[in-house]
Amino acid sequence: MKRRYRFHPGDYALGENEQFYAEMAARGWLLEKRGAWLSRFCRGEPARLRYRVELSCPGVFDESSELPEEQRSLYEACGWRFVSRGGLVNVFCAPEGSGAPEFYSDPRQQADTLKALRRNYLLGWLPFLLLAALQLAVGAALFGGAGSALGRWATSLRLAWVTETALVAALALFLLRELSALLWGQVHTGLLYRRLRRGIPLNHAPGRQQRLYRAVRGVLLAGCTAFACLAAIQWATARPVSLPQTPQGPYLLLGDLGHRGERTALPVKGGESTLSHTHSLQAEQWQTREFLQEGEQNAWLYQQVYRLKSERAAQDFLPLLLAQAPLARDSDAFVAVQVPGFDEAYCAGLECAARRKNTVFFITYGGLIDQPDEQDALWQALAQREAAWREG
Amino acid sequence: MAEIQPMSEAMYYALLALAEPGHGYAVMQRVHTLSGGRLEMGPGILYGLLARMKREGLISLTAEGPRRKVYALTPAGRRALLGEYRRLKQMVADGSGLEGYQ
Repeated sequence: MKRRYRFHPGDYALGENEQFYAEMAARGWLLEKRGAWLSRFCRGEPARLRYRVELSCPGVFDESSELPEEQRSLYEACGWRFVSRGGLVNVFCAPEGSGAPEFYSDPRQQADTLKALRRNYLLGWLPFLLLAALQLAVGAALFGGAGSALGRWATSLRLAWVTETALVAALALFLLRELSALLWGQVHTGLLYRRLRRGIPLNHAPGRQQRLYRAVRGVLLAGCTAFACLAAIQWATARPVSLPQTPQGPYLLLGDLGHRGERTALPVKGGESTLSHTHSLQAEQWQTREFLQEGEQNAWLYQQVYRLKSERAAQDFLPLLLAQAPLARDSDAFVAVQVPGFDEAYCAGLECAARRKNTVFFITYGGLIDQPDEQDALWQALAQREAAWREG
Repeated sequence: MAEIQPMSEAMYYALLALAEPGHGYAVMQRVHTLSGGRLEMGPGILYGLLARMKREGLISLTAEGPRRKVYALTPAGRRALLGEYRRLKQMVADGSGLEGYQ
């Protein structure tokens, strides 16, 4: 049997749902199952059917939101056939002209059935609010205050927007879609409740009032899906590989800094020498980690290199890296240094950051622990490597 | 028991229909007959009304099947119905002087 799935109007749009199912039935698609977002239809003869929606009204702690059996059988005795339930929405149908009576001759009585739906929309905000409060509380505990936590959170978000553009866009569109649906549903349920309380009956054929809203939701969903797919592809094709012996990007190897030794692996997670070369929508990125065994000593080097779309973007991006530096933990800890070949450069302990035009470098080098004068050698080697990569 | 006088028209007819025990659908049909077709009570309204009258102790279950429940007036329900009937009768009697008005 041929089946088809369609997005149905939101739970709050009682009349739109009834009209939607009646129109599908007239085209030969009969409602079989109503889900959370989609309704399933099966192919049948085109039929002129009246659909009516009745909302379940369970208590806050009730496990089931099914309509009481007695209520359902009363409706069925009146000529209505129960078709399906999705959440609080129960769908009944009867042939056009069958004489099955409307559920409510007094709209004021119907207003009371919106109680659980209004409560659901209100409770729908809870997970978002709790998550935001939890994140703020943890951040405040870690970074000494809510203001500081918010600042760090904003920095992380801006960083992620550059490094994981597709993923952030997908999440943002998903959140926007869900929150707008909550707000829209809450406002419309409230308006419907007031109309029914004033004695204005439900419009069972409201026309296409929701067309624009549904189009916007469709665009948001399409955008979210497209970005999520892109993020998945980027993630799948960007697995770290063993660090090549010759550079495959504008990054340094420990050999460039005069280290001679065997590649080694530290006995910790992520202790292998690896290269991760990825593309986000805003930057080409190289991340390396390298470990060498030199006699009794270990040499190590972590790097992040970002080639952004424009110089301006790189200028904005560098302060974010400084603010999120894993060791310094604060951009104020960095001291500006003048380095030939770079537009700006900063150092704080083992961490160095620099920018040349649209390329940003962030390096954590173990050799700076007891030899701060290694800094000059580091900048010189980086300038040479960057120039070599640019030219060839 | 909640204040039930004056009663809504729907409640008055539903109690009247339950002067003899009956299930929901039978109540709907009796209301239609008793009101001479003037009052159409939808199943949604009736179900809400039955639930409320049961909660307020005006009706009770006398038999319960898997899909149908049979309701009957309780003594409190009978008193409430009679009280409302007398109140309405008195109101009509009070207005009898209007008979000659055009």
